[in-house]
Amino acid sequence: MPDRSSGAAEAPFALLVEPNARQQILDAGAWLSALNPEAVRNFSEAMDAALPALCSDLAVAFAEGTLLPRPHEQASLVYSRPVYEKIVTAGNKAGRRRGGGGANTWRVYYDLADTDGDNRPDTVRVLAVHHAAARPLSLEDEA
Amino acid sequence: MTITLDLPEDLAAALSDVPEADRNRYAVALMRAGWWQSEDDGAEEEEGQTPLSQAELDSIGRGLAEADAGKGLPGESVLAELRQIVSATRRRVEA
Repeated sequence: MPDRSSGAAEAPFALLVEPNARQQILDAGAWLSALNPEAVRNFSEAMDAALPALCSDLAVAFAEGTLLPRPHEQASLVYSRPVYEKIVTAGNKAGRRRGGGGANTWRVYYDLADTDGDNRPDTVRVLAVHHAAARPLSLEDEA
Repeated sequence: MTITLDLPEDLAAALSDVPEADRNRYAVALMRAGWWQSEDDGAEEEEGQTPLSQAELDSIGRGLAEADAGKGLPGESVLAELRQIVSATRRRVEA
């Protein structure tokens, strides 16, 4: 039985990216590449930092039983299972303003899986990655 | 629900000439812009509360179906693919 008394020693959760999310990440990269070379670098660096950090933070949180993520209410209700949201901001806030508000903000949706059957989650599965501007804007979508 | 917007007189006059549906859309866009601006003013977004469109929910559903089917790819390989796009972009810019 591994010693889970110290968060610092926790192995990070494994990271899996579902094909849907992979395509969204690569599409975003291609879009940003055409838009602004700095933007695609910022996006890549933000994902490179945020996703492994999420895996480490969750491992510690579950080991210590603290600061557990709160499921995304709407998605979890629709699919009757916990779905989580991670907000990832690429670049700085000045860039966000230049981009029209939230332009560098991405929303990563994931769930947690127990792959070794010990009744403890050990894997982050990235389900989808959405740009902040994809949120509903029209009256019809708000309804 | 009633929301009162305090608009400059010239803007209010201009809006009075457009159809009501367009005015409503403008109001939604204005509130959204104000919300974004409030984010830039330092307020942190709250994870887990973002309203999702049907398209976003469908996208999450596709991801869940793939996860259930065991189709997940190692995260590092996907991040490496993204880094390749960055490298290609850099080469394109430098060429």
